[in-house]
Amino acid sequence: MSVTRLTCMNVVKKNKGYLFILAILLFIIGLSFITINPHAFAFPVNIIICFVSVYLSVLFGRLSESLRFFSSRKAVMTAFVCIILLMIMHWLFYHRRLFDGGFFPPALYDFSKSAMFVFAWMMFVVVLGAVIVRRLTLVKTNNQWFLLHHFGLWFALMTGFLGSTDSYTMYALLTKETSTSYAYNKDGQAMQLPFQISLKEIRTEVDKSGAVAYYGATVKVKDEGKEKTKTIAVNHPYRCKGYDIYIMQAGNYRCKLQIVYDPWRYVVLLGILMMMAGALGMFFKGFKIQKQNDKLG
Amino acid sequence: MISWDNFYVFAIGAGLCWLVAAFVSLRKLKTTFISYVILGFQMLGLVILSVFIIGLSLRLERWPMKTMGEIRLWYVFFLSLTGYITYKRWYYRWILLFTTLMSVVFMIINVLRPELHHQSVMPALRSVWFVPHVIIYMLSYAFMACTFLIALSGLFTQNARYIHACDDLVRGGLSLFTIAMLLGAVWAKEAWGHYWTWDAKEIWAAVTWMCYLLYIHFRDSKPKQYTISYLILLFAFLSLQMCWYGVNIFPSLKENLHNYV
Repeated sequence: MSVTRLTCMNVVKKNKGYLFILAILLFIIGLSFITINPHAFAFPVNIIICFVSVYLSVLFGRLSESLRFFSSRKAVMTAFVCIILLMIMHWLFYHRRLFDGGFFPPALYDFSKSAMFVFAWMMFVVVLGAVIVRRLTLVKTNNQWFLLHHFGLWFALMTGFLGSTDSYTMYALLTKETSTSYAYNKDGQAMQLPFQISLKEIRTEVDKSGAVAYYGATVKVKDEGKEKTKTIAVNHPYRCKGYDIYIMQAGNYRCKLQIVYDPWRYVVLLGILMMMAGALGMFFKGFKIQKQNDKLG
Repeated sequence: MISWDNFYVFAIGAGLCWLVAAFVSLRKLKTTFISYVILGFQMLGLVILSVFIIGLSLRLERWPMKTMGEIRLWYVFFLSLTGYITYKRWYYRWILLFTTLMSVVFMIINVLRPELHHQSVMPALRSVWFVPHVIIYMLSYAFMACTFLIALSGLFTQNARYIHACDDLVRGGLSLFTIAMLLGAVWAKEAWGHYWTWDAKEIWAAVTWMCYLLYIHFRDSKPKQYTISYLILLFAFLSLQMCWYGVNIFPSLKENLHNYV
């Protein structure tokens, strides 16, 4: 073995901790430069990712003794701290003006699509899954609300995240008595809709102080030869062929519509409902335990 | 007729009742009569504030939950209520005084800054989801405010005794916070087309939620490290303030979907 190689190995051995931190820093910096296009992971890739993460959760939570760390409280707390720091960073980069000047990688300005955020988020979901698996297999009693809440959270996060790869948000500017079957995404790319939509009229109501209290648009939707007239207002979207149509702005003669195609919307809602039921159960269970403790003194 | 113009009368009435209850609760010697006096004054204050809220609702022909000033009314109401529940459950003699002082400060802000209540209602806020979303949030904020005061006291006195009250209050408050946040997500889907948009308010709501979750997990993991637990609670409460109104003072507000709150 050459002297240079031996010296190098000694340096590595002596500074193992520092090198580990350096490697992690380089990894994080590398991730912060990458912007992820969510649609690259659209069906069926998102389903494969889902299965891989479930497999990793089972592996970390139950199968592998050496990887049990990932379902431990330490791992959960580390994941919390990482996500909290990343979210605060996300908020800071929200103030574009403070950080403009080209010094920071562009991925940081659109944080939810930054590889760093996606990586941390997936780690969080896998750790959460591992905790559920561990709890499911090791703890047998007094478990139902905990599992419902945690599984609901896991389900909502997983489906919300993977579902965003299949969903599209588009905008259409409608002028009175004109119709369109195209909408445009944020990048200005035209996308065809499976129906034709036209603006019939706009109604705006103003309150005593002169501020807008209500605005809505009556639209005609033509689908396979049938024509329907519907009113779209704030908090009252119209759903047609899996597309949700929202009103964004309304003027005298034209309005801006937001059209969202989200095939996973009810799946995510199921996760949210499970989580809510779990939170409600844990709230009342807390009082029950307290009452029992009071009785026991 | 009840309106914001005569709010100061109700504020003084409720504030005085709560202050009497708070000062009586500071006494070391407790008899059944004293307990009834505390209960009586605390409830009388709540009744006075309730009369104002109901009267204002009748005048406005809607529940008063749209402006910052109106939301503060609910915060004051729930803060006094949870303050009394905390006192009754754990017998901390000082808690009623602290929650009362906090409530009085919020009422004074409402009296001194009348422009807070004269904002008109945005179309986005005219939704059935709004009432449960705000009420449950305010109730959870009140729980967290009590937790903050107890944690602060525990940190300064280096007393581990307070941590159990914090545990119970955080568990209750966090459950409510989770429900309110999720109701907001469901409402956001109906109003804006997305469950979660990562705007400034949502980021801080998520940070707050995770901080309290971190506290619960830290307590389970290291039950003896009280100081760090108290510090996590203090940071969590600060992030809650950022979520509630702190985000409004930063330039990100312009890009914020929640810029009407």
